[in-house]
Amino acid sequence: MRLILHTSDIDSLRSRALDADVARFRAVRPSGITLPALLELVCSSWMWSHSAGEVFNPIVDGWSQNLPDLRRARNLLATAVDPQKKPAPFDAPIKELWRIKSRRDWADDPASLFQARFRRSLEKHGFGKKLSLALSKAMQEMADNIIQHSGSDEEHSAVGLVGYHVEEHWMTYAVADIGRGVLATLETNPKWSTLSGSGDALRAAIYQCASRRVSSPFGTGFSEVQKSLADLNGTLRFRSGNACLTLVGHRAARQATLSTNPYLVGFQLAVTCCRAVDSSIRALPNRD
Amino acid sequence: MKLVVHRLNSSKKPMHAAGATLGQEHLGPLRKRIQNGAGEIVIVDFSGIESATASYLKATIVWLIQSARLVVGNGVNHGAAHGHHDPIPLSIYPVVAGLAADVREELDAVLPGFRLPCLETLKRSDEKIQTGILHGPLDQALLDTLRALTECGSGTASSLHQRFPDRKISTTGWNNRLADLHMLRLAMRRKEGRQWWYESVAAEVKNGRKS
Repeated sequence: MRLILHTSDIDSLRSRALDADVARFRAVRPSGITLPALLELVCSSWMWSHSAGEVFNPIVDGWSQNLPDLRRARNLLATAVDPQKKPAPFDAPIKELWRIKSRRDWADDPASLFQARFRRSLEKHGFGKKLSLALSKAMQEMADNIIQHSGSDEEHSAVGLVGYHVEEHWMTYAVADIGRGVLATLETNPKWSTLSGSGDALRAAIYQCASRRVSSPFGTGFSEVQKSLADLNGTLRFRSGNACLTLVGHRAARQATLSTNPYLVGFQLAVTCCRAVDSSIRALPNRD
Repeated sequence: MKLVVHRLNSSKKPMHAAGATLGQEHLGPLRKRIQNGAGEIVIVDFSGIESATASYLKATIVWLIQSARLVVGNGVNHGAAHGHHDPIPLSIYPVVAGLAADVREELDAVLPGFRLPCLETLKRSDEKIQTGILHGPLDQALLDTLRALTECGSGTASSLHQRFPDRKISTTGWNNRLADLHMLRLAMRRKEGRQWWYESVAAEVKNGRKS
């Protein structure tokens, strides 16, 4: 039986690792991992490489043997070394990962080619020109947050990864960094200095367009994501600190769930949607 | 004075501009060029940009207008420490040009959130904007003042008071309104004797506002 790791599995592993109770995970031999789970796992692995990793990381090491994507993403996050052959500039691959550490990593030509490959891949897989453009712009905005907000300022951002996976009428993109997280970012703005925790910070950022910038009355990046999804069925997952906010469904009717889970550095988000003809979310057994 | 023109997308390929980082990079060369600005009109040319996100516009034209307003000392309220990309005082009058329909639409959506008006050039020479379109919110009284000023070409509070007696606005009233237009970077001014002499940034202003 094929076993695909989802974000819920990674949450569970992190939770068990805190209690040093990971026996059941040692026996797991996954054959795949979803993109959102992949990025949260590599951020977790990075965080625990500094402390308490003796329980968590041997599991991830074991999984890495079966999962080349996981091996690659861990290397990419930690060392920027990527032995995988780069796609041709004007190709349209179904999945790709990109590392962001500095402004140039996201503003120079190679990054714009990556962004264009995502757009091209969406078009090729049935998303249409207009929708593909909107989704790719939203992805660009989300990844840009790594530069703008993950570090102490825009010139000193944390390391992050952005990736996409596109199939026929279905796509997911995910962005993850190992920076200071949404709460610490917003707290630098006096207007948002009284937030009670990471859950509050996520809600403020997503629903109230909170921004760390004093000169800007509101942030616009998350609105761009909501706008890009329009009437599509989608799942949006935002996690930072010990909080996770999930939105599922159509535009205004998207159901929000705020949950707590073990602390993770930085900010991770994933957007998954499909163009289902029956207006219901297509079963996606192997994906987040 | 010659107009300063800066094309954001310096490549020949058209592009879709997203994100603050790209905006900051595109604005970088202009920022160096105008750091010692002396009241120039700066045209931010969006040619070659097919669409732009709000973050990109905030990092480019909105940043410039906010910076220009700081010179008057009545602009954005900065409570926290300044970051490298926060607005800085710049003695300029920013306007936009070369807007694609999608960029114009996004600009019209962004400006009200900042309560900022912005001029788009329609027709210009090397030294002057002949016709501009106004985007973003502007109080009706200020819009009327801007129309009066463009009708006169230029003038002082006293000269407008004398020219439009039927409007029942005192010299002080005109003075306040003209100062507000200057603060919003829609009117330039210079001191002549004891009076401020005002001139509209564009000789003719059409209303393109949706808000």
